[in-house]
Amino acid sequence: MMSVGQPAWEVVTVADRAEYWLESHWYFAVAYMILAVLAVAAMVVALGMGLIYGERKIAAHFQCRMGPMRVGYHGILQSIADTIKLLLKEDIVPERADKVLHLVGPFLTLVVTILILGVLPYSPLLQLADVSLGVLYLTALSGLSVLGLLLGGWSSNNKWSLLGGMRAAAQVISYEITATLALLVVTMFAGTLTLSGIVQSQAQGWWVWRAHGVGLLSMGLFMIAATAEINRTPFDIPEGESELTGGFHTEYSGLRFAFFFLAEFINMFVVAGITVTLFLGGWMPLRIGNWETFNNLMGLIPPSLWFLGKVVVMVFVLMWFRWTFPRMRVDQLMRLEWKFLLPIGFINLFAAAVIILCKWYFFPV
Amino acid sequence: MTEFQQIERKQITFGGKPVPVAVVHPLDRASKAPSVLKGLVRGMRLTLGYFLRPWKVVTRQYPENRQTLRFPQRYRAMLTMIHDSQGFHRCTACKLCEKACPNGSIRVITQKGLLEGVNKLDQYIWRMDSCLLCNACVQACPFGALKMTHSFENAVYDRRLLVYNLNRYAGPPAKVLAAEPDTAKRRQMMEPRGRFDGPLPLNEGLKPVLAKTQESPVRETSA
Amino acid sequence: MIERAMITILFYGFAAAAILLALAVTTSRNLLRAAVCLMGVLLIQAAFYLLLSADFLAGVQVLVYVGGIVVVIAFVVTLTRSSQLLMDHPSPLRMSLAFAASAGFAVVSIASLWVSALHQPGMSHSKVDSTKAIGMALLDTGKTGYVLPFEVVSVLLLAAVIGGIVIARKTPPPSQPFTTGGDKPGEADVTLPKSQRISKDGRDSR
Repeated sequence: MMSVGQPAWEVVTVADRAEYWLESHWYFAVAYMILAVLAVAAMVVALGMGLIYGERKIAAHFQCRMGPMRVGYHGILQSIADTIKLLLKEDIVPERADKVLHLVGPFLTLVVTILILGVLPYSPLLQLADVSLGVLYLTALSGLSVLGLLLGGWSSNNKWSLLGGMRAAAQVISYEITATLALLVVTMFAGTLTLSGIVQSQAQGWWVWRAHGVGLLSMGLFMIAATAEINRTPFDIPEGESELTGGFHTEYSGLRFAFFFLAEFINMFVVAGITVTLFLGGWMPLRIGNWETFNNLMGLIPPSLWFLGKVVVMVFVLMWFRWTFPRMRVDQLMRLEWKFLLPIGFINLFAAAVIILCKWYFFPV
Repeated sequence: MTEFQQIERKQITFGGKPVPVAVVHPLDRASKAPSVLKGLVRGMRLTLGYFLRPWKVVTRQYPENRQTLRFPQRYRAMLTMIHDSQGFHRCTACKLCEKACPNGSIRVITQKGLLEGVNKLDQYIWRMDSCLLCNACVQACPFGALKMTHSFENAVYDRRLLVYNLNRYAGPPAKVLAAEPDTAKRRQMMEPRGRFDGPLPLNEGLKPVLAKTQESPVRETSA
Repeated sequence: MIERAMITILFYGFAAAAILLALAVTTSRNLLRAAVCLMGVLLIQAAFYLLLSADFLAGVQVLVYVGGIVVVIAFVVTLTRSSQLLMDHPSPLRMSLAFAASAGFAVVSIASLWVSALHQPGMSHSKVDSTKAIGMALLDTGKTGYVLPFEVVSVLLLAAVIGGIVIARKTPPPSQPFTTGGDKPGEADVTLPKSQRISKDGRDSR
């Protein structure tokens, strides 16, 4: 049931363009790949600084205070000052720490985050690579990031860092399951694993309301599980500043700490991006049934702006969680996952499968 | 662990023997879900209320608000010894404040006036670099000679400048000086005194007039 | 043509890296470094799967091997005093026997691969959706279907999970034979020492 006047979106990724040019003019392909690398680097830097400033200001206003106000107008240049400070700090490695593993820990965490950044569909023409196993790629990479935390905790040669690293790893591998179960529901409805395919399948409506309650529950489950995966309050026991000093990143300073810190903030963006892609329609504009003018008006807004706006809202919600809820104890955290979220996730998946098989849906799929 | 889970303990007979059993009611747990969610939403609404009202921040932007700074009466920033309009203070060098200070930030140095043989205050040394502003000295003083003021902009670049001498000029008061016609002698009267120079001239010759303010809950000294 | 050249270069590069990392796994004195090198080897294995257009397998390789098995190995290494296991200085006889065994294995495997006429996987551009193909094959009840092994493996996994829970749980005190899940303090969270057990018929499991 396609409404009249709905534009057809043609998805071309940078990897597609590189592949097209590979045979004839291979230097174009190389240029596209270099462009992709530079774009990701620029995005990491810009996102990091922007998100850190946003976090500080938003956190401050949630707490009836003002945040950075001195460096630049209302503190806009604060992130630049912080970046310069972090880069110039001395890189202290504890004496009997394993030097190689001390470096591999934050490196691995940041690399995994950047790898996911390259796969998200920002707009029909602005995707770096449309991996054919999009959702599986995401879950596989979150499994890989566990090792970064473990290595960071172990290689600091510090009991408390090890404890923090252990807790972080246990938390991440537990909540991965719920996150995957929630993502699988949308995958079943969309019928494809590729992220751009999932976005395009939401042309008639976003999965959060189009998937009959199962979608809403999945989105709730995924939000909770993803907040736990990126170690954010209320699940930030591993790095809880008042608990284990710094948790697994106590002994890190300078550039290596900058990696962990940056990885945490870009993870926030990535998680928001995944939520938006799978549940909130990615770059799809809001379309309501057959309201022509409304749909056309919504279609005028460029899709990258839709994506950005939705991700900004989701990041705001994540920060809202952080500054509203108290931190959960580690046993409460594990109990929540294994005794509440996992059974609910399985029931959700089963219900979604039943809905799809028996074709109990009102909206077209 | 809180009573989040309803557990009922009872005895059942299992194979003829009484066996203690704990029965879990999972649906009780599930029925708490709406109230849990309502609680979470209530918290989020509160913080969103704070966020959407940025004019209600409690932060004060110092130093732009220096003209309109207001402090509560009991704010403690810097210790002073109360001097009235004629320069007299009420300290008798009893050293109770020195004993009351928890970390020894006060030193009371006395000098025995040789003519009358009574210890009088020579220097009242207060170290601001170690003072806790705990108010114990103010409360310990039986004469009400000390007071905590609101002056808080005391940062210096040299740590030695944080050692204060709280009693002021201890030479002859202005009236006595004015009565002396010779300039050289006047200047000599204002010099620091030696040990055998005679009695400290601060309160000599003139009866101190204590101003009756609220800050002096002390008995009058009859001097 | 360029694509074939690229794939060849990538293959040799990955193969060299895999061999070096595998050597590092076996010769490293630090167990955790060996685990990280093992992670590297398994990641390169996933890269090989990608070169052979088996993208679903690559994803599952990273998910299961790297995200699961290497993490379990890392947990074990960090939670146990495993560093003491590496104080071994083998005798020359043992070292020569080990070298002979591994050399023999290498010779036999290379010879068998050389002799057998394995079908060279062509770099197919058919863009076959491997996920869909694997899914259909797994649930195919026909002659070439794999639904029976799939179900048997599911039962095996269930048995493994249950066995793990049974092995790792703490025995409740005999005065409380049915556990409530151990949520309340003092419940099935402590294993009573032998002196404090009040069982009359000596039916303690430890």
